[in-house]
Amino acid sequence: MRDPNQFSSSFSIERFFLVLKRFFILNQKNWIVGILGAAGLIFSLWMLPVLFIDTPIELLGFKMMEGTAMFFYTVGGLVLTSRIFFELHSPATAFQFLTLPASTLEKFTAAWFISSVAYTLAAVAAIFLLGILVESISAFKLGIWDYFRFFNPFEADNLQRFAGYFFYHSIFLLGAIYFKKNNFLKTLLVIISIFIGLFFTIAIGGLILTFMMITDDFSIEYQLLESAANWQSILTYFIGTILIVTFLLFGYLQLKNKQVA
Amino acid sequence: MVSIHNLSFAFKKNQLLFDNLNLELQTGFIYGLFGLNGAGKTTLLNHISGMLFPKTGSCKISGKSSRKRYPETLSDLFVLPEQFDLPSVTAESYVNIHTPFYPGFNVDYMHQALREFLVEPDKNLNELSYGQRKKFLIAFSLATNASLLLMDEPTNGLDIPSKSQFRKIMAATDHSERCVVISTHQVRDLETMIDHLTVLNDGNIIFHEGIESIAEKLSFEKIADDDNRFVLYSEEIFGGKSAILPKKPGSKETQIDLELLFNGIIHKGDVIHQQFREEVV
Amino acid sequence: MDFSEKQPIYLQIIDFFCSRILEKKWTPDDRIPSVREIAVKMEVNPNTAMRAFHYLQEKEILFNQRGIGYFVSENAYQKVLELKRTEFISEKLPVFFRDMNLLGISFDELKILYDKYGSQSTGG
Repeated sequence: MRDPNQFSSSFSIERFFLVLKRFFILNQKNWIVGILGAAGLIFSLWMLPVLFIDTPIELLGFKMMEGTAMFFYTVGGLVLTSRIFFELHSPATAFQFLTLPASTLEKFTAAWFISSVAYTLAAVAAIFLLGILVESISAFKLGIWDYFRFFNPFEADNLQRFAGYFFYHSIFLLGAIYFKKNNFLKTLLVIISIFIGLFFTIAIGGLILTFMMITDDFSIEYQLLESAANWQSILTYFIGTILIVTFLLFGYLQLKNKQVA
Repeated sequence: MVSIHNLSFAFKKNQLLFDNLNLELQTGFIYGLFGLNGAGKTTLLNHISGMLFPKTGSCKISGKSSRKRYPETLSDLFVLPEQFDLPSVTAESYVNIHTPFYPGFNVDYMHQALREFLVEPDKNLNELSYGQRKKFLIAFSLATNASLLLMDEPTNGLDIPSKSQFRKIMAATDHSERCVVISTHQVRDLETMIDHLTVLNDGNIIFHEGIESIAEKLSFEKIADDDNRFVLYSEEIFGGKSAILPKKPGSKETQIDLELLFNGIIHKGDVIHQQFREEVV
Repeated sequence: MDFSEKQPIYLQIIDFFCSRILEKKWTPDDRIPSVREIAVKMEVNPNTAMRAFHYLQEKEILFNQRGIGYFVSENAYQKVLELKRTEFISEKLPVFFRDMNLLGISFDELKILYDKYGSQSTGG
């Protein structure tokens, strides 16, 4: 006999897309307003130097433009992510999400996908087009087309920023399920507290280490520490990935056990 | 359909709302779930739908634990809460994004019901009045063709013509393959609709009987003050008493006065329950 | 002084059908409203309406043609008449006689009133 509880809570790609579509349609108004607002802001910021400085946009200028756009991309995305499970936090709406005929895994991955992958693709496209627009205006104004640049999402700087977004995104997704209200601010506060905590731990650890180096012959350990620095970036990505997976797992379990408020 | 076994639940520690509650609900019935305010009707419905988890005991739908929220269970279930907010989309759009989740969804029925309820499909749901939104969700819940329908105070907030429309639409729908649970404290609104009376009181189900069996066992009569027959429960009315009496075998059936019966069960549950136990002996 | 009990809905439906047949508004082989139509009209659970149909089918006043609906039987009028006469004699008359006694209406007085009623309703 098959245990009835052994029932397929598995993953159906069809239902995943249905949940995705539902997320999109229920949120599209807010998102479109948000994206247009952010795009308008970025555009105005970018246009300032174009309007007031009569030289073509140099590499450094372009990098700064990219930086501002990526900042808005990150903050905007995290705000959006914080709101993605808004239905869960009021008894008047929770029933629609909790009894929506899809598995928790489908609901969770759909929320993750739309607020990370899909959002990033949309943001890249928007930044790319905005870049072309501003560059064209600048080039038209000056009549110089030699400095025309395109936004390249695959540049190392940008890839690192995307990685950073995906990392923080996993925390804010957890916060979106865990907190009932002001999810964005509360998650931000938790992250800041953890950083402050880490800072002190490291500072105290550093002090102890320095103290030990003064008292003892610490050259061998110090050298080991130096060589470890070479591995820093690999280690960062490794730990980062583990942390992302951990946060996502916690988020999933949190959603699975979410009850009506 | 629904099987609740030794369910205990508490919102606050050491303050049990349900204490070893047991309940079986079957397909083909419209259950009226009655209880005083605060008896936990909504909480019980939330356990059945898997939105709340029991502290101990279990709640299963067709043998599958509610709290697991299997998609297969959820696609055969619909919950109509008393208070709800709908997303800011048109009725049409709401239907479009949700129907694919319910394999048995009947689009024609939905449109027909909306017409009967005078709800415009191209209007934004948030522009509708409370009553209109409620009627929209009632129509949706029936159109899903879900085998288990949980309705929490469905007539609350409906005006008098809408209450009548609700009863008409419920009467016109085939419920033979379905289990409907309607929780309410407005007994009069639904007394002609239900075919099973379930009373929740003091953390437990204290009465769970079919309307036909009630009509066979109890007689609802208006009696004179000096009537000295054995009365199970009575209330003073102008010129006499409204009374529940044990029904004599072979005597004519009387119309069940659900409000009186509910009061009787709350105040003299044991005496009334005795009438249903005797046959077993 | 009305101590009579309210009728269960299914009996109300039966009464309605019976009076239709007695008034000859429904005649043999007429198709009558469906269970669903009656349930909607009365705003009751279809099972309740179904009970009335089953009862009348058992009494051979209605017959069911599968997939089409319910029809009035050949000798429905006769059957209803019998049924209603018995009911009238066993249930309505005792109450009527009790009230006659209470109000001191004599049998002669009743006859005069009855004749008057008869001439009004037929002579009209």
